[in-house]
Amino acid sequence: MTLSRDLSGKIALAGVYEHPTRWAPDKTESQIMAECARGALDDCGLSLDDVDGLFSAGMAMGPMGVVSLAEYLDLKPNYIDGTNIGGSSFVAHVNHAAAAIHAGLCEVGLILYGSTAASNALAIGTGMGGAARDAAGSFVSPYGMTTVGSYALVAQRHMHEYGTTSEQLAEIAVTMRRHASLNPHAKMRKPITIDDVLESRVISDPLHLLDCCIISDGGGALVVTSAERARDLAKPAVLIQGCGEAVCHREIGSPDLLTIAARQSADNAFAMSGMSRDDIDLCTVYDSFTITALVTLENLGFCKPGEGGAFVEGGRIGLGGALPVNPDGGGLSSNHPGMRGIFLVIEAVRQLRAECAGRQVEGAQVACVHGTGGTLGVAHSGATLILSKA
Amino acid sequence: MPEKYFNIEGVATHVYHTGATTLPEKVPDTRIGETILCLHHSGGNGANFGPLMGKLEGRHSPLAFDFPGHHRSGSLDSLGSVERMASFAGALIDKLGLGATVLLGHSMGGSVALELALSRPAVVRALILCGTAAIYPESPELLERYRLITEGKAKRHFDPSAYSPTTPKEVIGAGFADSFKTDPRAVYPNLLALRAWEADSRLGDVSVPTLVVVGSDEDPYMVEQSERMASQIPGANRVVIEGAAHMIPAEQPDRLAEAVIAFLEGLS
Repeated sequence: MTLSRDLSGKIALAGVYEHPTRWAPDKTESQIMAECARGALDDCGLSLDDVDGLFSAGMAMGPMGVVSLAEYLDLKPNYIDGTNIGGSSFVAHVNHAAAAIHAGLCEVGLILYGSTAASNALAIGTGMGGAARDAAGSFVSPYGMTTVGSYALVAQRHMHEYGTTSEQLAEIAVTMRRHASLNPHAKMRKPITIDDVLESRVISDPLHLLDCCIISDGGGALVVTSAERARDLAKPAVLIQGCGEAVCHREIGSPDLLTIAARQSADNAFAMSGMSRDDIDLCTVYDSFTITALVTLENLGFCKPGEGGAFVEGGRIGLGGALPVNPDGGGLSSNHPGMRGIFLVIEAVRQLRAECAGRQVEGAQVACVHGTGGTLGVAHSGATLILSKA
Repeated sequence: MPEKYFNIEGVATHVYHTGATTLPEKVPDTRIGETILCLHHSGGNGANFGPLMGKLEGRHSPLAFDFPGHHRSGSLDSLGSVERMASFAGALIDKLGLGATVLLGHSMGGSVALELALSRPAVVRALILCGTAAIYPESPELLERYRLITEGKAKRHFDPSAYSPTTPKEVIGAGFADSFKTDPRAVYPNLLALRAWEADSRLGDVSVPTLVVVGSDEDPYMVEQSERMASQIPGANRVVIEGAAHMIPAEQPDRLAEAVIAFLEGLS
């Protein structure tokens, strides 16, 4: 990671856009992405003609989906990246765009995601299976493993090893809902209590319905360019100080249910940024389930393994707490259109620009973003960003 | 059945029609016979009228749509009151330029049709009230169950007693599948809306030709309501459809179509 220090602070997130929709049965995924592209380019004052790098991934997009998307947008980019490592893909796309721009392979990268997961009734947590259809996964899938089932195993393990309680997990859901109540676009805005979470039906023991993210439609876009170019654009630039990616290998128990890809990707991202965990003012982390946020915070190094339960208690991860997490309400309450990584970046950028009236983390200077892709407990990916105000 | 979207009061509204498919924004051709707008039950959708519309096609011009918050129309919420649903249906008639339209309302849709006939009689050519009521009984247990469903504390509910014992399993199965196409967070406010509404005291004010349709195996309260509506609405007729309970359009589309055709023949 020695060379990467040279990249730190050189590349900026210049434009962001989150589609306000949470339910769009009348739109296609391409339509949502095109609307997002327009939104993010308007945000920074660029046009589609300025874009020469295109990055995208999607649930319904095939391996060549990014090619069709370029055609839909009538775009002829010089740099194309359709990396799909699950929900973290868009955080990884930021890393890839930064590297490409730094290397001079493109100047303006457009990262897009759009999905109609809700209106197409995708059963993401219970319907797709917790094991991929490949050689190793075929040893697990016959037993009926689901995505939520695999996350439930992680939660069971955490409870067994460290005495973590359902109340502690529920506090994450309650905090995300409180944040969502401050976000006018969030899908679920009615505040809930810890008892509401514990009384909601069990989906896969110990995870209740309200421990699981929602499913929505939606989309988002990011515009990445050099810090130098971003200085002249419409909005204050947010600088990429550090980035990292990692995978954790497949199959339950290997290496350990509670060690996730975030550990490796965060260590590299922090090393690249030259910053420490104490410098972070807010976090946006993938919260597909409450347990995802808890083990992610541990693996990112904000607390020691096993301390996650106590860490999320007492309002620490809420607005006004020591480390606010997902001020937009996260996937648990704001939106989760199948893959959520792009929204983690969008919210971090909006927070660092101090654009989040009502849910603003006061004085936010540095944010840590972590996307998880795939399923904890089996093979998964992680991508981390350290972002700062210019 | 061709389907398309229209923007009604800012909501992308999913409309079903017969005849040829048409380009976006182009209104379907409704020149054949009467224009019949079908209004679905709470938690249902316009596709529930598919078999009926198929039977009416060629003689009349049937249309249906999904209310906001239902199936493939926009919005995550129910409109929240029968009056707002009626004004929404009126706005759809205006937007599509349908003129005086026959309203065929089933269950909640029937109440909406009745409300629209009372509030805007000029846009209503005639009323066909199917398995519906002018006032709904208090049902605290049903409401409580739906409240718990919306909070994730109870499983979704499907009531097969809305179907006749003679209705084929496939029809009930399709209804079960359809019930999952609408979020219970839209259905619960519908149930509250129906209980906050009544037209019982205004039945004498209905000024358009009316046919009341009820299933032979319908719940006794709804049968009583059908009799009351038929007796109180000036000039109304009542038809009993054999082999149907509450879900008449799905259970007996052929017999319902016959009744509709006969009623509309009597109009001209």
